Amino acid sequence: MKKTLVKIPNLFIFILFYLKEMVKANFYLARDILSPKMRISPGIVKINIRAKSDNRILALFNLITMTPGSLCMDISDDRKSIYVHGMYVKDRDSFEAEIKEGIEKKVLEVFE
Amino acid sequence: MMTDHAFIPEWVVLTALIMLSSAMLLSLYRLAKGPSLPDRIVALDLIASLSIGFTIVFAIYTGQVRYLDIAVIVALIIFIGTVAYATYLKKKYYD
Amino acid sequence: MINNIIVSVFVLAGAFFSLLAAIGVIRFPDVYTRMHAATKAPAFGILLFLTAAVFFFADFYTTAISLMIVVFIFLTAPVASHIISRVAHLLNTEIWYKTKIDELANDTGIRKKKLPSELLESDKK
Repeated sequence: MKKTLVKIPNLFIFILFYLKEMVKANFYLARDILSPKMRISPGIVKINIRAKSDNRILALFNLITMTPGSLCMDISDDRKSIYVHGMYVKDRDSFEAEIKEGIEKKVLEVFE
Repeated sequence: MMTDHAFIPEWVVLTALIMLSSAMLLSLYRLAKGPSLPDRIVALDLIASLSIGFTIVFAIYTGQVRYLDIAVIVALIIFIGTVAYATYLKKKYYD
Repeated sequence: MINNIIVSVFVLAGAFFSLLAAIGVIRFPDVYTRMHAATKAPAFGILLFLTAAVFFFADFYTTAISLMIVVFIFLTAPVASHIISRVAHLLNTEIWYKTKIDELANDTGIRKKKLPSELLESDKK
């Protein structure tokens, strides 16, 4: 049993990151809701994930749902890709890169 | 602080309660109108979250810590309710 | 004194975000975008309310209870939104006509109809 769930200092970094992302997400949401004209462009995008273990997938689900303009919808049966509903999907590839570089990288760093 | 609790002006609590009530009225409108069934589940989920907020503001207003216990119970139950509704719809789809 | 101001600001901010969630549920065009408003904003509002309660009562009991509620809400809110949106997609709930891509429909084969935006483009041809 050498593997631990998560290292303690990393957990604090993760919680701070989570809070920052959540505050940002809520201010984006406030801007969208209160602006008189709807400027959102939603879309459902399939994203291949590198995270394999249960902990990482759970953290990724939570973080994607709480971050600005993205909401997790489903996971494929072979657990290799997830479907994300995005609010600001300009085009498919840039949205996928945004999720992969920003959130998934963080999750891979923090969780074992 | 010398006193037991911090002091909170009454108009702040009243404003917060009025905002929460209007939020609940708006979500009741969505619950009544909602074009599809999932819309209504979303509205119910929101109403439950708003009632947790009501309980916490009421605990601050009266200065009774024990009201927070109600918030715990509501938070535990709404999740089960939402999942039950969704499962029911899923079952209906597969039949 | 400073404590009172912190409590008041947190209570008002929490009420504002709760109201924002309700306005979003009224204003947004389809189930999936409504889910964005109904998941993020109330969770944040409850977090702010509980911070206000912790500053107001300032004892161990409140802190422990608040921590419990926050952890539970933040673990369950994404799960609830995931299961609702999954079921909504399974039931072929109407999607906004400006939605650009829907790759979940392609993979599960649920949606028999075309996406409204695709339909518009094919009509133009």
